[in-house]
Amino acid sequence: MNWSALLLSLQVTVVATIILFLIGLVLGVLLARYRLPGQIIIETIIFLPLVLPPSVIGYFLLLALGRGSPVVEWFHVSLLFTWQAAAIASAVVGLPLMVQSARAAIANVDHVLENAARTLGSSELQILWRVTLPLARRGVIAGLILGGARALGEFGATLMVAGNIPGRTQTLPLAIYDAVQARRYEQAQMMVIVMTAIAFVGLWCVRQLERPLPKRRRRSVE
Amino acid sequence: MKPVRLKVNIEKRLANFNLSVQIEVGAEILVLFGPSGAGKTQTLNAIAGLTTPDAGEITLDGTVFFRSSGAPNKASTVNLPARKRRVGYVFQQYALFPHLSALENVAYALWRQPHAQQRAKALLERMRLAELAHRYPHELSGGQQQRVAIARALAMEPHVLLMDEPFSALDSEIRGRLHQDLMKLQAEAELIVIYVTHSLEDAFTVGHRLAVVRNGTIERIGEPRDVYPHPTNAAPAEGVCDTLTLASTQSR
Repeated sequence: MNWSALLLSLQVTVVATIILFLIGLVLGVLLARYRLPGQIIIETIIFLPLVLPPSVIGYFLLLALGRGSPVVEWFHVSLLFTWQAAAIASAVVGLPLMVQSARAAIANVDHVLENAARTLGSSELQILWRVTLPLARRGVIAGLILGGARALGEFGATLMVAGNIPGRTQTLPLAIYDAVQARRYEQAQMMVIVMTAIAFVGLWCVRQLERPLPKRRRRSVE
Repeated sequence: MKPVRLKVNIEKRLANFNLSVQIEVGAEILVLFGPSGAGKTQTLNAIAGLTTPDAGEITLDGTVFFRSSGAPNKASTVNLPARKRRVGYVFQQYALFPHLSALENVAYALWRQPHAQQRAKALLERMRLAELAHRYPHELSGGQQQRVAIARALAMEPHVLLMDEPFSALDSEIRGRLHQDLMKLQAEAELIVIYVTHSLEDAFTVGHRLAVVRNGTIERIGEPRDVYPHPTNAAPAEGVCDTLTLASTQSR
């Protein structure tokens, strides 16, 4: 078992999930509640990572993070071939799953409840925090798990922007590839089992969240 | 104390007709009566600040809720956001927050205010709901839910209470008791109440005044007996018959 790869994978996934939560939530709210100019174009761009080959995403990320990009020029941070780059790559591929789930859950919240909150003196931000998000929480959590699981399994784009440096940027999927290449099958098998188990538990949780709530009781006696 | 008056004079272009409503309401229950789709809810929404009229003015004494400048770019239009109007709104389908208990629903508007819990409890007691404070909306009957909704709207001590077919989904016995509650509340707090219904029976029970709304305009307004002199008569005043038919076919 390659422990450093497992730990690094968890670290990358946690950071990617935090990014997913913040960006995915903002996008989910915007797409569910507002008619934005160029909405279809924005949605299409967010969903591109679902269908693009990892090498293409990796290429775009190289442009975004590499020499000459605003990140390097303005902030003087070079992220290429660091674990942070792996986290960004993982977040990008997980984002469509998070946005889709969060957007659907937020759109499902009854508008009348938000209007009621408006008449009760809430600002738009308070409504989001006190009404919309609590009611959409199942979908948001499901999206986070889906996006996080996808982030954990990221391979191609990570390889291109973070490399495959054991102990520094080699995540579990990359370590499995290396192990197989080097014919260390037993080590590979162990990691495959761990990856599969984590993914299984994650998807099982999502299924639980998507199940309808038990039939609500109604008391008819006044 | 000078009685508070709500003045509404608005125009709004809607899909099928133009809404054009002029009303002045004091501390009384004004019933807006008419068939579904006549513009009654739109009028309430405009007063609450949930929709914006195209032109006109809404004032509560010195407070301007809405005043259109008349300028085409709407540059100097005053439009107070709903949250600053302090207008209570009771919706047809209760619209309680399902993730909050009855008590938390009532305390919603009192967020971060001193003694929110005690004030909310007192309101629930007034609505005869004290022992149900910790139930969630889905654990309450329709009548109980609507009483929670009224308590929730009253928590911010509004001058104006808007009610959109508040009791239409309830059976007539419960409706009768809630009407009594409402009339008592209105008299005690000298509330301005605008009550939307398509039931003439409701209109006669609670209305100090009655406004007949049709196709976006107020057709008639006055004391119920003056508007409809013989509401139970088989051959009532002109216009009542078809309104009643409309109301009954469109009630759920």
